[in-house]
Amino acid sequence: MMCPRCESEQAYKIFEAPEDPKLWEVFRCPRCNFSWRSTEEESITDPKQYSPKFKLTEKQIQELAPKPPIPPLRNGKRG
Amino acid sequence: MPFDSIRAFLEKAETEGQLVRIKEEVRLEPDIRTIACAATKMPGGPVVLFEKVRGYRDKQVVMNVHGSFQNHALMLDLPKETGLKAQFHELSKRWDRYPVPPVRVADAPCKEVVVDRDPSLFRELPLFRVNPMDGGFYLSKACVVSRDPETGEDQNVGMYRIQVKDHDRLGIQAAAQHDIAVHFRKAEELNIPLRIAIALSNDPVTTLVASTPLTYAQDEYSMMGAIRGEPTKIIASERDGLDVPAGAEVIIEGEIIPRHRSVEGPFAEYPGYYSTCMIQAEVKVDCITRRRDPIIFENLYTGRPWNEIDYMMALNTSLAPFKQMKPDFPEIEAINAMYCHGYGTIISSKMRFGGFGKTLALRLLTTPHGINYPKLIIVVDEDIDPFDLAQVMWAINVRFRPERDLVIIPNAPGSTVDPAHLVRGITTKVIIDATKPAFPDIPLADASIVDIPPDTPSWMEELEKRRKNPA
Repeated sequence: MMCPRCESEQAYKIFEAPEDPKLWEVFRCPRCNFSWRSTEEESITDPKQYSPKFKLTEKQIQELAPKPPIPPLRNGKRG
Repeated sequence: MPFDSIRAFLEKAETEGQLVRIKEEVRLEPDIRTIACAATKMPGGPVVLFEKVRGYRDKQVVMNVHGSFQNHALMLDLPKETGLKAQFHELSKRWDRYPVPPVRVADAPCKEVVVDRDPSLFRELPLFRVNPMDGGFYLSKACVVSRDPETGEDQNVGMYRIQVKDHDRLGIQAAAQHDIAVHFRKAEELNIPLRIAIALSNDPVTTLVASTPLTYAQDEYSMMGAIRGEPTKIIASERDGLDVPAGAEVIIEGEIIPRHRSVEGPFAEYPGYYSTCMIQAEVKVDCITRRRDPIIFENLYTGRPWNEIDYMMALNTSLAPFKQMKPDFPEIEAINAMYCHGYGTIISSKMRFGGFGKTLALRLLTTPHGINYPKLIIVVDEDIDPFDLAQVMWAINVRFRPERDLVIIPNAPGSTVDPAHLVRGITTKVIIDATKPAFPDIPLADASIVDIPPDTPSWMEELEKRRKNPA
């Protein structure tokens, strides 16, 4: 399954409607943490229609800033 | 009567005509966001209870609990038509009763069901995407409890955006200026997990105080008691004994993983823009306790202002700097920090001497909330109601002299989600001193204000009576 946002092929189903699995399924992408429901608009579920402005590449992910910044370890602590 | 759970408040809202039940089945997307947006854009918008969501037999969703000043007044147990300035001063009076410490209870509905093996947030909650380009399903109105990991003290209750990434995995925004970041920083320095408890679907005062910028040392539960008018009931969380609101529908427990960040966002934030993606901290969930079904899941619609988040963070955001400045400057009449969480803040005060307006504006910028959020600070005299923008605009138009009264402070700390910034977290502050010249400044010799006739307010009441009941 391709992630609509980062186009990783590693996305997979994590859940389906408790009332009836046919109603909807939820998927997640382990690379960019995007998740979506099968019944959302195609502009959300279809990689081809997902807004280019919100797409996320591996390179962009590598360059994201950490929030909050990770502080130095105190003396004697191991990372 | 103060409300000790969201259910008690829903009863009150229904009695007062401020609750709409949606009985037909709704889709989690896009129906809930659309109807929640409609409710908050209406004048006097009601609370909306979704009784049946597609895919879950036993879950309900409630939106717009704080989403109008009528709902805000009901939360404070005031008549729903109570005006803004009156609500501000009532809240101010109750704030002064602080501290009203909480009482501990041994049992509460939020412990009826304990899920401590393989917890699944998707199974327990009817999660949904709040805005279309959000990076996932968010808990946008959750109260997060944490303590200093070294001392076990300085408990904090705060509201931080939380992305549900997997059954037992959350992303959490612990921005450096927030109290939880103090706890988290220590935990990361020591390379130990920070235990937290997340309370969902709380009575509205609990949520209000969790989203109020109190000082680090102030205890949120003791402030909730002060605002509510009776002690808040708390119960020890299942795993860690953190104090959680007994009236909550659901408690999630877990730990923030030290020295780890992962992709989070974007999320539609209070300025009405999506935040950027960032790599943020993550929580491993290991226990969920809750009421028996049907639980009511409360979430927050955020989007283009005005909407529920603006109502929720209006008077509390205004009151915090008011209380922090008032001891030094008793002349201050009121503060309005309602716009974009205080990006725009209006201070109304008597003037001690010429130039005093600038003193007040600069003091605002050293309060906890004032450091980052305000970037447009308007100072007006005490005869201007800062909650009445027509009056504020009048003051700017007739009292502001740009060559003397405009102050610009570049390269100052700013909000990290302000879309106008070139560098996230750095802003330019602007002070507009729209006060009359006070001695030793030079008053304009020919400036004479027209007074309104003294009996005008009583005649306004009289005319209103006669309009409602013509003789």
